[in-house]
Amino acid sequence: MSKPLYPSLNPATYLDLAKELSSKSEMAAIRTAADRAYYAAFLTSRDLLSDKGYLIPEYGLSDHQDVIETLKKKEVLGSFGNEEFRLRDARNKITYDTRDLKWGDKGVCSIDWMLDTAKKIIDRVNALPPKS
Amino acid sequence: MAVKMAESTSIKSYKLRKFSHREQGYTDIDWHSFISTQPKSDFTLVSAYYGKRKISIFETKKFSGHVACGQAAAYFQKLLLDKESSSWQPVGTISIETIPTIEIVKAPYKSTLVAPVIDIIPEHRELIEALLGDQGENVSEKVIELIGDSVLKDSWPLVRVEVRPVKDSEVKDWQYILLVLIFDSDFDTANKYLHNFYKKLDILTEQLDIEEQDILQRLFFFDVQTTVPIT
Repeated sequence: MSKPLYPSLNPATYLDLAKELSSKSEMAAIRTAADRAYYAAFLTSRDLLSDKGYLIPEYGLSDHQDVIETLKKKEVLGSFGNEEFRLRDARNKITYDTRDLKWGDKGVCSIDWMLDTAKKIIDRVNALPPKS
Repeated sequence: MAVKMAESTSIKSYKLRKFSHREQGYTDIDWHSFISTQPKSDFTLVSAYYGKRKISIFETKKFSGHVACGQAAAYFQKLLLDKESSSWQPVGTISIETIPTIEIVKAPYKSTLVAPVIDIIPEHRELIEALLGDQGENVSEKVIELIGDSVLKDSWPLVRVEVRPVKDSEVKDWQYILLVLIFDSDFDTANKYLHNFYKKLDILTEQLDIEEQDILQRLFFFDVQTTVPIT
């Protein structure tokens, strides 16, 4: 067996990386932090929801929808699951739109809000019991 | 008619009035006339929202904080009388004692509602309707009612609600409705309002049947925008 080119990782570690990047002054670092904050919440949620029996992942693009819809189920996070949607919307804006982004622009949130929201989502999904 | 937020800040209770009209053949309801034919000056139309088959009206008596049952019916009655010579004709009875149902023929709706406090602006109405279907429209109306409830009871500084059909840019065939709540506040405050709204949505979810729960969970997403920048 050859050594994997990309060994498996715990996606929650993206959140630590995001925090580190967010403390830097370069815009590339801050915008990458926004991207990693979303992926920390998304991938950790996906893997935990899968481990606990709430979701069967496809390890592809459709997982974005599946995770958000699953989180919004009343037996999962309920309406709070909408925060995952907001986090993704913010990530899309900050990642794809390289122009100046201002408060009041659609989807524009602070990096602090994104880090905090990602942590809250991860904590809540962590606390979920296995699906009965 | 301009309705100031100040007129609704003293509201202690309110009653939502619902009106139904026949869907077929409707193309336009003149909301400007609707509002301007307000029959009594001491009542304020706080907001109104129409769905595919239902019109929800929020109104309050000025200064007292109470809502008069039947006032909304009077709005319509006046409008119907005013328009009697043209295409507006009541074909049912206006009931005030029971759930008021008003049926109007040849009175279609238009897509943008002029509402003084809760300004609800649907973008691409036809796409929204196609995505929601009849059952989704029912859920939509309940969500809008909940927003109205929050504006009145929690004194939300809500400027307007934009309702947008969204086709996701990454995930194939994923379409949904995005309701953007635009607040006259800073982001943190708007965020708190949204989190409180989640609790109300969870209570609403318990009152929906399984299919409606599924629609709410899959099709409705919420975000906030603010008018006050962070300094």
